Amino acid sequence: MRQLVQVVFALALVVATGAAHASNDTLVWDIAAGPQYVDPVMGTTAQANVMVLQNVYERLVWYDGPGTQPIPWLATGWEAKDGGRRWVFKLRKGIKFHDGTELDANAVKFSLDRSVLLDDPTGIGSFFPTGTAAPGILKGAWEFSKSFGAGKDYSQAAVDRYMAAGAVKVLDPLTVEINLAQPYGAFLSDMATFMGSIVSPAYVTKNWKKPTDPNAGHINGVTAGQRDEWMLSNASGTGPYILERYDRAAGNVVLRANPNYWGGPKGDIKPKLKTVVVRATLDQATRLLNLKAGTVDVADITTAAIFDVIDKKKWLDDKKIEPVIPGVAVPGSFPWLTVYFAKMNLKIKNPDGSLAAFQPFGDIRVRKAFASALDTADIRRNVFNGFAEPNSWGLTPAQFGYDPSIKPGYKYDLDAAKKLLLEAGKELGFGPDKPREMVLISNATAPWQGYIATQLASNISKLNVGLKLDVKALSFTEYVNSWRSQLTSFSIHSSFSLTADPNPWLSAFGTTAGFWARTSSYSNPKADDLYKQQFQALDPKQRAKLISELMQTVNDDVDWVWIGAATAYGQPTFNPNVLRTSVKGFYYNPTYQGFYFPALWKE
Amino acid sequence: MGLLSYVARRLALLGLVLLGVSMVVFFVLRGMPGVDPLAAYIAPGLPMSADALASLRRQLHLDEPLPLQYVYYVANLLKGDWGYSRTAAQPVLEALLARLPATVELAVAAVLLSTALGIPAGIVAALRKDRAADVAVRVVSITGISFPVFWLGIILQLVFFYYMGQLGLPTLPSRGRIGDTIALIDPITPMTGLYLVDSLLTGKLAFFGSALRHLVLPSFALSLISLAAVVRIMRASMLEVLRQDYILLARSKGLPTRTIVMRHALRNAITPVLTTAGTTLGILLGGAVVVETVFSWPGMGSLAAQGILNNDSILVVGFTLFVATMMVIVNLVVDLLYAVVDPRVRY
Amino acid sequence: MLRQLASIRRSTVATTAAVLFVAIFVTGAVAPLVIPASVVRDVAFGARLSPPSARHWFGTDDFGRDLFSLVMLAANLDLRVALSVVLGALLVGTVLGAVAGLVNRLDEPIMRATDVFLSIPSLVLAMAIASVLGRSVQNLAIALVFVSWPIYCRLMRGQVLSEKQKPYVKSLRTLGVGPARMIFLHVVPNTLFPVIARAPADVGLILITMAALSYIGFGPGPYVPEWGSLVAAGQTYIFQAPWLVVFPGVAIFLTSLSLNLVGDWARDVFDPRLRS
Repeated sequence: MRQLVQVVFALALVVATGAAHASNDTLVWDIAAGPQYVDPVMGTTAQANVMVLQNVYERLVWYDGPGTQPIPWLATGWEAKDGGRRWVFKLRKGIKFHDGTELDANAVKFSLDRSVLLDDPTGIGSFFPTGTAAPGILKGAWEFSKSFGAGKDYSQAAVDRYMAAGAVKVLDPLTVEINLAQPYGAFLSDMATFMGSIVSPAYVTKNWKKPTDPNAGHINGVTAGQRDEWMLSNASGTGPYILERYDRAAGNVVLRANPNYWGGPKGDIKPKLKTVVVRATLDQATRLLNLKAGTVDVADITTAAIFDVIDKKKWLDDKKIEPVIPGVAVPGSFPWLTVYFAKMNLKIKNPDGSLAAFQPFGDIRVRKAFASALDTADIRRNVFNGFAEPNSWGLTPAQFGYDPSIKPGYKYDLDAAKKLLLEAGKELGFGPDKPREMVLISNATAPWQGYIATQLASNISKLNVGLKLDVKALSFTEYVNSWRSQLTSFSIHSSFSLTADPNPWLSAFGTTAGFWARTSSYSNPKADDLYKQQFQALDPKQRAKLISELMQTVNDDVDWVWIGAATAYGQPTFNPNVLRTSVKGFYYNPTYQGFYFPALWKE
Repeated sequence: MGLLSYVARRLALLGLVLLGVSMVVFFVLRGMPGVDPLAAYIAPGLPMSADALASLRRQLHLDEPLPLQYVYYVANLLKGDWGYSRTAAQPVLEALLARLPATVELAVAAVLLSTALGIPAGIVAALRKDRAADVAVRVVSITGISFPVFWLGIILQLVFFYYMGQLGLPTLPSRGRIGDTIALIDPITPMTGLYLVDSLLTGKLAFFGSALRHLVLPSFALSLISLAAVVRIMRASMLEVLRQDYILLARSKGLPTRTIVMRHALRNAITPVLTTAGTTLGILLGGAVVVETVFSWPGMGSLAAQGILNNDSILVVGFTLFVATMMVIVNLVVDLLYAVVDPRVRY
Repeated sequence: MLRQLASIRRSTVATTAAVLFVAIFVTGAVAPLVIPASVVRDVAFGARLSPPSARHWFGTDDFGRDLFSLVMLAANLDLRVALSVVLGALLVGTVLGAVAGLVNRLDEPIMRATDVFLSIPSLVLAMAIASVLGRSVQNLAIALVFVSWPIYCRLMRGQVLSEKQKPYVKSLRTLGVGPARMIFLHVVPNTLFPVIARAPADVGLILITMAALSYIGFGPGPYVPEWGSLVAAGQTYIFQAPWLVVFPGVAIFLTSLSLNLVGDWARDVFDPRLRS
């Protein structure tokens, strides 16, 4: 039976792709890597997941076209009470899920409770709704979560405790109340991401099996602490597209336009593309050939190969995009939610866990010198082929809170670097007559890191200040373990954010317990305090001011080198969107992490 | 000496050689001076807890004397426990057997190609000894072995996949065993695991066509390794045979060269080529590691190559043992066939 | 022996090949003296992936480094390793082979040992040994020695055995010439050269095996130029910058070709079995 189904799907895929050439209501996309899963509570670094989620599921609030202010979507309006600790949403009447059941307050409660209770360690929990520090975001989530919070187990008692805390309350069939553990300025924007997706409780529960273990905590439809295998590959939302078929192994997705779609807040959204076929084609050359032949409408072309598609000189020198293949368009470079940076470890450790003898980065002069020895403009232009923009902090310039007037504590200046290093060397014990060796590590599977590391190593070694830098490319697991165990000195990374709100990166780079900061032992109590204040600030202007202060405080410590913000989408390869000219309607929203298909049509 | 006693002796020899191979492999795995045997089991960068390490030591009998460890090791091998591969996330033997058909298909295609091209070339070279054709054949075959196979594979991809594609000409696929679309529309139920065979048996011609197209470039690249050897052996053996008395007799009778060659000389000249089939297979299996990597061919060789990158010595050593066993068995089969055909060999 | 070496002049093919190899060898030997070691780390991203030109004869790679310099430096490493491996294998092989031929009791075990080693394809065995020892050029060389000695051992043994039967050995014995003098002054010169004749082709084979192993991933990394790893690194950009793959490959090919042609000629001259 499964074989038959697979054959039918495959046939559909081929018919769809074959017909795509002629038909204008099917879009075919050759993607570099297909979605890993389609459950909105699972975390991911693959944008393909989010792209499916964005079209199949919807949220209480969302964005109007390219706008970045949340507007009511599944909700008709909301009220913030108790200083931002209580939010009441009124829901729209008459919206149906793909399985035919109606959207109501109970569905919202189910979806949010589910995202807390499932608590997968690779899930969204550390962003929303649990958070990374007490007291957490949704009330009771921090105390429950074993993966991210203070929770100890997934017993029924723990589940009952969470449910009793009253994070989400149904006031009436179209009114839902959400209670937070603390005021949270980014609440609405988090609810507007895929993390706030509303799933059909009837659909989930129908395919859910009650756990056989009597001790396993659960509510009807969700087993605490356990992934839902069915929902990893199946979906039922309210969105403009239905997940017709998803082949996890191959990474292929077929989306079909929802004939019963409610039309969006203005009632005017009607998908023109009846079918969207996303197929994972691993080989870059094949994707390019398909695009040229016209058998696909959109293809992922990596920045490394982008000059097969656009003119190199015109792009690098004039910032003009000129396709060199007829019938192909590249809409442009857009701010994406990925930043490139380098970090300097203040407490380098030995493999056995003890502190290393040589700690160069404890001295701010060394940090400033290294930061001044990296030619980030050259890197953005020639390593990322122009698809990265300069940033003065670890945010993308399009994000809320980004302040262009903030200055980093360094600029590219090899003479200044030399002076600083000669000075610092006298105290730290290295000099031209007493050379010291240092090793920079890079990820062997991400060659761009090797290029950057080599540039730095070469620049510093040539200064003749007594530092001999060597670069070592490690396998992925070794590389990850290396920086997680603080074995690295100077390392280069990229970071992707699931949400457009700056909180994840503000915390990662600025707070002591932050994801990146703690692997460098970076800690500034003033920054910690500013972070907490902006976290709870409900007034956007107030929050922006606090964020600016936080940015400047961190920059004054010079523990990070900001290499750039990506203006091409995707992880791990970075791909500017490349479409055939027959595809129309593409616009970019900095909060999106993929295409919104209702906006597109073909001519 | 009878056939049976010959077979018995050869089997005994096979056993001895396999024992020897297992000793070498065991020594490589556990006895290399300065190398900690446990290192192979630890994924680089993911340290194991002290408890896990201790239990692993006990499991592998690492605290016993080396000869005793060897006995446990061989016992495990015979039971089918060749260790667990991190790279394949499967037991080693299982992983290798699963990918065996792909490699066999490639190797057999390469052997067929190299004999189909090499035998006629060797005959021509022998017949036209020291003349232009001979020199040409010898130069071409030496050029063939001087080509690094991995480089040839890449150049073939460049020409037949990319440049042909750029020019709008029909292309040959550069990676994989089968086209993605065909695998989706009309998959075959694997019976032997050999795509060409299975698709013919079930009458799926589109699948057969795609599998054949995918086989062309990799098998051609691989065949070049053994081509030179086949040509050289064929030539030398043909020259040897042509000097024999019965050939001179045939010539003096006025028989045309063609008849002489095809009817009399070939049968005897070809045997050395066949007897070296075992060694040829071995060389091909070694070359398969590289060719499979270049063409992303899902066989044993590319798995072993991934194992190297992953520091998965268990897999790499298991692969070595597997390949050696295959080679020895093939040698035995060839020898036995030869012995059946030519009684002179049996002593 | 010198007469035989001089006869190379009679074969144009072999002479050309020999000259070619000597040219490559000299380039490799001279490269580190002429090319500064820093070229390996001199990144110039602005000039990345540029095609061959007057400034960069072989073009530039993805770091912006001059490919010509890298290929020349790699010649040094590759030739050094290949030659030392063959030397090592020759030493081990001929000693063990001579022992096998001269000492009856040790003949069978040594031959069985070579049987075992020869039943494992060389690339595969080298992979296994090198993977256990760890990824470094020295370990690769050790692994390759392990893989190459059996052939020389066998050849030497065969030569020694047939030499032992020769009448002059028996008469020298009756004359009372001691075994040591016999071995070094008489037996060795007659047995060694056919064995050594095997060496040039072997160097070519080792070179290709080493490059293949580097290509798979055993290479010394992007900061130590080696022909095989240059090809592997270039493969990522093969469609944009095919010169990255072409030039190192041609280098391997030419070196190996010249060695094989010389080796072929050497076998024809020195190996009595092939003389028609």
